[in-house]
Amino acid sequence: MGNVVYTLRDVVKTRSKGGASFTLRVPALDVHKGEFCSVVGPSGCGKSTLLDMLALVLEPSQVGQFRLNVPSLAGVQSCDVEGLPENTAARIRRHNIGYVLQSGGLLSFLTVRENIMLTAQISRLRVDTDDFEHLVETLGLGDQLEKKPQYLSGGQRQRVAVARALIHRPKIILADEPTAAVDYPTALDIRDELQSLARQMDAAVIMVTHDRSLVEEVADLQVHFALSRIKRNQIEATTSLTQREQAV
Amino acid sequence: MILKLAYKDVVHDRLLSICLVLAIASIISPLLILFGLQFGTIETLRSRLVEDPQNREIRPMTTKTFHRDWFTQLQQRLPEVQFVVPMTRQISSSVVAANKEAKLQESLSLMATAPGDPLLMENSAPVPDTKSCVLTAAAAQSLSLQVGDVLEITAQRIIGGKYEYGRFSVRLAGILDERASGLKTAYVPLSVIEAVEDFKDGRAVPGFGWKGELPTAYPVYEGAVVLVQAPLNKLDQVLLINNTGFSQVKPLSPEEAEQLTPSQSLSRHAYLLKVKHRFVTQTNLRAVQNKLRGKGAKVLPWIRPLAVQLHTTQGDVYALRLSVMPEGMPGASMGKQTTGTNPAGGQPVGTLFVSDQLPLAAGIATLRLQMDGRELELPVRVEKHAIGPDRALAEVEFAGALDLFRYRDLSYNNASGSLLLSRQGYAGFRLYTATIDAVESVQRALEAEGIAVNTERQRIAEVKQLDHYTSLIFWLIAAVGVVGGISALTASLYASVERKKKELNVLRLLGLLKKELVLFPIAQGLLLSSGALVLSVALFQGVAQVINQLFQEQLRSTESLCTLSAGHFFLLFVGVWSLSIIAATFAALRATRLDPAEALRDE
Repeated sequence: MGNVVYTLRDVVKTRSKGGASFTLRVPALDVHKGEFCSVVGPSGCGKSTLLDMLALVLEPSQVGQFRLNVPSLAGVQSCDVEGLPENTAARIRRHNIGYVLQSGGLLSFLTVRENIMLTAQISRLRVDTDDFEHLVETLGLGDQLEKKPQYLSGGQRQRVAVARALIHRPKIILADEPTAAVDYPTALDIRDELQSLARQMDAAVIMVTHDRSLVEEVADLQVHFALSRIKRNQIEATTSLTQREQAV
Repeated sequence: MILKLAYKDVVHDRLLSICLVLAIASIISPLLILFGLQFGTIETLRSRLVEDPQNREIRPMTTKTFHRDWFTQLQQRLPEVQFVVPMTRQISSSVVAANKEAKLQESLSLMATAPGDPLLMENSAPVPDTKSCVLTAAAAQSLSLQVGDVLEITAQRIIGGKYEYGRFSVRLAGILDERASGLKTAYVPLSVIEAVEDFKDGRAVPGFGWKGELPTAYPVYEGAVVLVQAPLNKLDQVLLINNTGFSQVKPLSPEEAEQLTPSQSLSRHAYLLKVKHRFVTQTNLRAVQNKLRGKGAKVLPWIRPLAVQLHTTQGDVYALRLSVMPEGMPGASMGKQTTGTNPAGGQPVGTLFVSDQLPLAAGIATLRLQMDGRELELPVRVEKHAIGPDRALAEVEFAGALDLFRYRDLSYNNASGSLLLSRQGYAGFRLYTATIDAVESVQRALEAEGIAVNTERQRIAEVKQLDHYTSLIFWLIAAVGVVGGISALTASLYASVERKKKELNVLRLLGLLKKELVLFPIAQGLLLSSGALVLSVALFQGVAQVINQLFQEQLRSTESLCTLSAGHFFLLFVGVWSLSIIAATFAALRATRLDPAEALRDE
């Protein structure tokens, strides 16, 4: 694998609600360009908390090191995420991160075409027609472009979300349970399409899922969670990593 | 991009958007109609007041003599006065007009007019010349006259128990709009009205060929020289100024007497009688003569020397001091006809004796008097006599008549070859202020001069008051409406943001900045309020048309009972857009508090 995209060392996030607290500890996590990283665990283990921090929408409580190495409009190649101003984080997101959300996260008032082009428009990126057509053809969306999302199947919606996440050629793709709402064969197709297209763009994919079987065979890196109860209302989750052995 | 997204969202949720547009329009439309009615009604009343010159007219309530100077100075004193024209006595302006072709006749009142008359100009009629007139609609209708027709006007008087008629024909130059007056009136230049009044007063009007007495200038004097054989005692002197019109008596030395009455005062005692103010007439002289009956006295009129100019036919001008020529002065050819004709064509009024040292020929010349900016020119016969070169002498009556020019206007009448008294003043006036707002101040100014006048001040004040109160009511209702409108818009936009929270979170997650996201509800607020504005204006126009149609009979073609100006619509759009931005700001603040992490969580 090439350059590191994310470097996390001793990152801790504590969240409290109704007297109960949850702490997520990430001792170490390195995600590289083109790498397929799966975040696997049961509900409530901290998968989304980790994803929020990686998506720069949740600030860690404690940080040993949290670096992001991507080009951005601000000309920053590498930056410490801790204390990052909100607008800078938003600018980094719009240019460098693609999102595939659980139910697609598509805007109901836009057509498929407009939804796909949305991220490109936000990042003010001119998209080559051939690239657009290649992307929608690969995802089988060629004849769905003028439809509104509500007229699509679950699988089609997720494919639109994948297209939207990739259209502006980000270096990171964050996918939060992208296959949760589709049947297993469709889930496999979406996973493969996402992995394949991301690899073509040399983008790192971090996919959160509760279904270990879906990613076990393909993930270059797996993040696991070990839960422990410290006190009655205090739960702590610590991540551990499993690196897939490289084929020789 | 965010505006496009906002637009697409509004279009996507079209049903909800239509509901919002209707809700906002339901607040704006009644306010627009209410304001349209308020503005239209007041504006109609106001424009009727402003546009109709009758409402700017100020009429004297009583007859009074207004001198010419009063008219010339009025507009300098009161710049708010737009137009003023003198009026003769009402009784003198009644005439009978006839349409001979249609064999119709009608009693009319004559009114004076002049260039700039707003009553005519603002009621579709030109200002007539002396050969034409303008009629009110009622007069034209009763005489069945059209513009261009000729009507005959007859003035009537009784002289010595016999009716006499003065007639003249005029062309109808214009007919006033109905609103100008409901009376049967003919508008003619002031000179025509003056002629009619002169005729009715029994005077001749040579310009119209009407016979009668001429208002010939009468002789006046500033004093008299009394010549007696024996000196007068003090009692006799006092008697001379007792009830004779004279106020001073002064014995003259022989030299003074000789200077004032050459060749008359020899072997006589001379006294100069003078007046303190103004002048005396022949009656006063006769009174003195009576007092001196049996004393062999001679009473000679005396005037202060008049500065005159004599213009000869050769173009020479001589400045002279004119005084009374003593009776029986040796060498004077009193009443002798002089050969020669006046190049101007008029008959000479009298004879002027000038120094035989002057290099001018006896004959006809023009005498010019100038006094206080006034001027009088008349032809005179010139005779030469052995007097000083800067002096001129005139016969007693002629000199006295010229002396009257000190005290009032005179004019030379070519036809009769005589000096006539000019009109001193007028019985009233027709006055218009420049604006309705000036009516009150001009009324006050005239009343301060002791001139009771009648105006539409009360009506103007009533309309202003009505405007004030209806505006107050409107703004109270509008304030409630505005609060309701803001509340409705704010609630709608806030609900819209709440409803779109998921999508807005996604947009934030995808990297949209807060400041960009703020534009989303603002743009939607503007779109919705614009839709509501268009709908409200359309509704207003429809309702206004119905209202105006219903009251069509009460309105003139240019009037509307329910209307708004372009300026109002501009203010309405700016106001509603501003309010929608204020309302949307609350929703925008909510949008800025959205957490992009929620986009992940909501999934």
